[in-house]
Amino acid sequence: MIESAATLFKDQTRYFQGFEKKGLPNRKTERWKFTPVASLYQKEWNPQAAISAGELDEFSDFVSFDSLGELSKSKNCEVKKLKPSEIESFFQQFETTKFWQEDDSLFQWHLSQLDHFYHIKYTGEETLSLTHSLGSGALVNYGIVFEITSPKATVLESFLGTRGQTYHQTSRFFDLKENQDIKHVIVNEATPEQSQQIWTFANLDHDKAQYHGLQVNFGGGLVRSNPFINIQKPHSFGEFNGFYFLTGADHFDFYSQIKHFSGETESNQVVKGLLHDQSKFAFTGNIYISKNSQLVNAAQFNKNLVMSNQAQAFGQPQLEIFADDVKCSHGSTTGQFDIDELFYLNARAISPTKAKRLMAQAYGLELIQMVDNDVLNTYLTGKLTSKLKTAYGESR
Amino acid sequence: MIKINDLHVTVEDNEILKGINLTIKPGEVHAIMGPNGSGKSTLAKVIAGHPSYEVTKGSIEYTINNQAKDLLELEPDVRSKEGIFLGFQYPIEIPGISNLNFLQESFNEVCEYQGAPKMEEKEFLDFLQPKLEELKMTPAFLYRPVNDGFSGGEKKKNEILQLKILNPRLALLDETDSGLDVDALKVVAGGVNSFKTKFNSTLLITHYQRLLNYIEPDFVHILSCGKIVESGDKSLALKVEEKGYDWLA
Ligand SMILES: Nc1ncnc2c1ncn2[C@@H]1O[C@H](COP(=O)(O)OP(=O)(O)OP(=O)(O)O)[C@@H](O)[C@H]1O
Ligand SMILES: [Mg+2]
Repeated sequence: MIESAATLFKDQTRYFQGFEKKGLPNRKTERWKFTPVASLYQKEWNPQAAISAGELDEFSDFVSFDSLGELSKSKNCEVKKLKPSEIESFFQQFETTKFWQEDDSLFQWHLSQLDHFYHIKYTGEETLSLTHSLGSGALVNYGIVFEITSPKATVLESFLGTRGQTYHQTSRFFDLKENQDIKHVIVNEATPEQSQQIWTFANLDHDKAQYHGLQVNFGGGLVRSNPFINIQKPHSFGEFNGFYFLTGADHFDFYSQIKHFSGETESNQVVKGLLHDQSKFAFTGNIYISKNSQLVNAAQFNKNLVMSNQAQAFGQPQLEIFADDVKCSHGSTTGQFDIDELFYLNARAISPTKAKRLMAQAYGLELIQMVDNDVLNTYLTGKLTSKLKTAYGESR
Repeated sequence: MIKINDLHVTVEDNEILKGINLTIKPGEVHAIMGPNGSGKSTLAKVIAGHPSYEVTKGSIEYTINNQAKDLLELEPDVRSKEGIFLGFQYPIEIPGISNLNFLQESFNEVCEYQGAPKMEEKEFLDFLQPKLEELKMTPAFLYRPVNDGFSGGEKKKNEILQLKILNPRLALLDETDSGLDVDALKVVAGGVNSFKTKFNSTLLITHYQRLLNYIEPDFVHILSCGKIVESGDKSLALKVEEKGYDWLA
């Protein structure tokens, strides 16, 4: 049990007090009702030697973090650890933005415990690959501010579950420029004994900014992802999609807020996945459209395929719409594979297991193929294919 | 080839098939006609093993290579591997799986089952090429998701393409002629005729006599209210065309 703030910067004490005022969430806390996290904060964590993440061969521009959050390498991009005064002023400014939510006690806890805060400047135009190593029995907290200089680029973050337990908390901050198009893909391969908090803040405060977020979640004992997008200038577009493939006792809680503070903006969200065994998935999709934001177009769709009797999916859209001339659609379904589709494949000699694998693959590829970046596409397709082979077997 | 004996089938507590008897020998072509909702597609799907239909009585015996099998004991994919092919009245769209991937998986499953070598993509494409040409399909169909956005006629051609790829022993073609233009009908009929050998059998389900001008049936049956109420030769189809079904008691 942690009883005080870390010592990276001064305001951490204040954030810790902010956390203490609210305390740990329980089952009655609205934004945490599907996911019991308290025990993770009460546990003793004993960090062992760091495990390095290594780099992904597919991508030449990379940064990698070991399992204690230390940066080990960098190429084609500038990475620096921010000084206490710089972190201080970053968060003081952040507190004035519409992202700041006083009552989000666990985010304040995360800030109070940050032991690293990085600034990553990427000048390339292709894919910046970040690898995060999970494990080491450690409680880890770090944050990353991205500065992307080119008009169009992709940031791929891969969480690689190596070995051992961890409670791994990271936050990332994007501030998009005018006309900038950023793709941000998170691939999570945490193991069942690893838990995470993943915060993403994408600020679209310039004309014609486009932010395309996607999390592909392949596991994790308890994974909470909190993508927040604020769309504040006209002709901007924000999306955060999700695909998950859960087995065993995996638990994935996807809690997103997409907020329109300007008219003539668009957002989209498709969240879907497959639940096996005793796994659980919870989706909260908040869409907020402020009073003066006319001509907004927002769409949200959630589809869960439940492959076992013990698996559970919870979904709740939360629409808060204060403007009247807007289009906002949302839908949520939970079910199983379509019996006629499966039969069609079976009637063509494809065994039930393989038919399910093909359909699961098709289901995931629909989202992956929306990422318009060939190298990344191939990488993600390969990942999905190999996950499915492991889960459903090579052939029969 | 297939011997259906007193087959009763229910779906959601409704009895749809009420005692079907039908025997098809190797090399024969049978046609089934009958009013809408009489149970034609149900019969075809039960033979192929659709899980939604419950067989409450009767049997289906399937014989190939002089070996008789209780068809109802076999899983749908095994029935297909054993040479049963259902051409769907409404081919299913599967977004996200490319047609090529689907056809190749399907073909290789059968190869594996029959102990033949599997084909890699390139070899498989070469194998497909003449079949596509014969059906007047462009290779673009291979790279689209299975049946997704295909026109009605294109879906039916895709079914015949699968028939030609899998080369089954018993083809059940459920209204494969519906929705085809005159030229496509000839192409599709040509595809079915090229499948015809003295070892293979075909069961055609159709509403139209015109198909039977292209594919000559040895027998025509009328299915009505879950029973075969009349059987005869192809002149029966002409009679239906002329008089409808009312004259049948
Ligand atoms: N899965 C199902 N659930 C409920 N009813 C069904 C199902 N499948 C078939 N039926 C019913 O069974 C009856 C026979 O249907 P079937 O599709 O076999 O008719 P058909 O002879 O092929 O008709 P058509 O000429 O219109 O294609 C119909 O009344 C149909 O509504
Ligand atoms: Mg029918």
